[in-house]
Amino acid sequence: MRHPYFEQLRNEGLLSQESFDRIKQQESGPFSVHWELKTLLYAGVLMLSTGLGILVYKNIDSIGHQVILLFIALLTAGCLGWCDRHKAPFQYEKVVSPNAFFDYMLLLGTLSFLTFVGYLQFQYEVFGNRYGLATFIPMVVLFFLAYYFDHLGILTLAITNLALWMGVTVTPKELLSNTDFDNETIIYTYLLLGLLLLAAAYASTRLHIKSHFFFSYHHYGVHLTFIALLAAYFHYDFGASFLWLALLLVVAWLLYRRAYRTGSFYFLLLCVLYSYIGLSGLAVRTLIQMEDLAAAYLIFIYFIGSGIGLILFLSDLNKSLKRHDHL
Amino acid sequence: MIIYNLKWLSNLLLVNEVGNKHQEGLLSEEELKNIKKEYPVGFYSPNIFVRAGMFLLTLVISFFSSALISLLFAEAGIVDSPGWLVFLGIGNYVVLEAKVQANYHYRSGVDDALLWISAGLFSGAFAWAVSNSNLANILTAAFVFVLSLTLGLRFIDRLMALVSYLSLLALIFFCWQETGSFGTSTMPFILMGFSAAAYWLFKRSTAFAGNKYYNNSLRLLQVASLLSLYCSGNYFVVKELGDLLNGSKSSSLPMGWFFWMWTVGLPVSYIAIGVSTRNRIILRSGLLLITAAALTYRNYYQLMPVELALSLAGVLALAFAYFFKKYLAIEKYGFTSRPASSRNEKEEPPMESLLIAETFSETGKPVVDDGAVFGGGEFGGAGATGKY
Repeated sequence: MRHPYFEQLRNEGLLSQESFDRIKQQESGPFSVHWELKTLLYAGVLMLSTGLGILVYKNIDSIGHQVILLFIALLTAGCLGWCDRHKAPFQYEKVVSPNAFFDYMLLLGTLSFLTFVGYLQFQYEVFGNRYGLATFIPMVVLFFLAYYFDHLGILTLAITNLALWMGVTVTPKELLSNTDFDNETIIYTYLLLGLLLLAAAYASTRLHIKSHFFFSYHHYGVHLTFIALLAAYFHYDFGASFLWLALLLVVAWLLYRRAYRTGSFYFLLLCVLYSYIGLSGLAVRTLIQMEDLAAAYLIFIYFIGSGIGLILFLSDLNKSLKRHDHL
Repeated sequence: MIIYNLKWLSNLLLVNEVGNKHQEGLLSEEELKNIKKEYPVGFYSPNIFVRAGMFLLTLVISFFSSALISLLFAEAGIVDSPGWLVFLGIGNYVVLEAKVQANYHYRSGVDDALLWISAGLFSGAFAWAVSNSNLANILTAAFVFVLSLTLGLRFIDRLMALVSYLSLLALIFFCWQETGSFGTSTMPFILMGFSAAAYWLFKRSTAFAGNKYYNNSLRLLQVASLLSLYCSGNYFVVKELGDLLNGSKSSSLPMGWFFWMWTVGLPVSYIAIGVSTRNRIILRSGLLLITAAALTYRNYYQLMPVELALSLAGVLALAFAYFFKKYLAIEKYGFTSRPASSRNEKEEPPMESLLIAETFSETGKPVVDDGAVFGGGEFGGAGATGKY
């Protein structure tokens, strides 16, 4: 046995003989390569879908390209068809996936579908100049697949496509590098998207339609709403900016209460940190009006004091929630 | 040496192990509660997200405290020197010791942040002080090694242990480099020898019961030494690093066959050894390094364009995974493709789906043609559809 602990615990009477035997049996069980194979599946899907995605564009003028297109179409149909045959029957609550291979075949089918549609638009302009339609249709299909097959990964892809359709991006990398937040249209789009996702999150749990999708919707919804509100706060001056800050605090309070009720440390932390950024913005913007070296001292002291205060607050929160901690 | 209460520390190891088994549903809630009562842990270790928040806030507090003190003393003209950084480092370190000893912080975010800030300040001050010496590299590497080893041992920090291993590797590298052209040409073998010896030492020490507090650190060090063993003999690393050091542009390496064997053969040996000895660390290192071997090979010999290589490798990986999944669905030779434990998945964050969104969200967008010409219609992957 790997750890002498359990023998010790059994001898001390803290562990029943049955539990001890169960642990012993599990420890002497076979060597599982489950995670290794799963990583390999992920790598395989990543390489194949990336490879095909480039291959089809590089061969536009050759005869081979029709073959590649056909291959992608067959791959899509094959994967989705296979998954449809092997899936568990649909239900409104969580359906346990048959196995990891099923999940990744579904992902491969979905990705090759996206490549296929993207290529049709690029080469044949099937949607003409209606670019909205070119992102709308994949989005609808993605949402349908996510619900039909109960796949969280495809749901997040659907959410990113929803953002794409609205003209913005949501993945952290893109959000940080490519987004210009000093633009009213973008700020409002993000706000709308964030609120939409929050609504979807609450609808999922309230109506008991795939309530385990809550986290994915809520995760993106919370981040986008807060980022949009902060961007709006820093975009405007004086009167309007206070309005946005007030709105930020109201949203933070509502989300905070819900996160506290469900014991979710992750969302509590997000509420606390995003409101802290907003309030610190207010403090710095106010103090900087002084145009004096004293302002620097005050700002430094503000950050030291508020930081210590917030640590104590988090520490308290940790204590009061420890009994039922979740994500 | 260790700053923490040793009794609590060993209770924590036990309680963690029991907690894992409880999550897998192997023992009852009642038993877990009794064990926790019998083996108390008095550390202050908040939830992981609270830890992350405290880490960030401690960085903010420490930064602005340093800024405030520096501003106060700016007139005196003593701020602009390595000594000032040492002073700030000591300040952070004193708070760290106090928090851990008086308030029993253990992985609370506060201690993590202070540990790294003070280590950074001390190292920065030292590097600054010796920057004009012609032995600056050697001295800095030696200092970082001693510092991170001390802190790693005292605070049982995995990442500190990793830093100390890497700085020792750097120290050996810089010292050997001093011996001139002989040093440069024998460098790979010195580093290989060192890595292999280090792996052997870490592996032996992990099994040693007296080291139980350092088990996690030692496991990470095993991975690090396996990877550095590979990198020391990897064709790309040896050739490009040699060129960089000599300022030359070579077209091939002396003893190139040896380094190619090392590049391709070592990952395969890792996997073989990992499988035959049921050693997950070696097995996973080998799987990771297969990718490195493939990329190295591709860098010098391009049999086919990258997109075709990717597609073929993808089909192969999927076929391989499918075959072994089926083959090992029933246990064979002590291996299984089923998960080892029936861990309650509700408790785990859906990281996989976030990873999928991050890596696949570009799929379907047109690729801008960079003018590269594809070499014909030799497309081999089409047969794969039959499987699905």
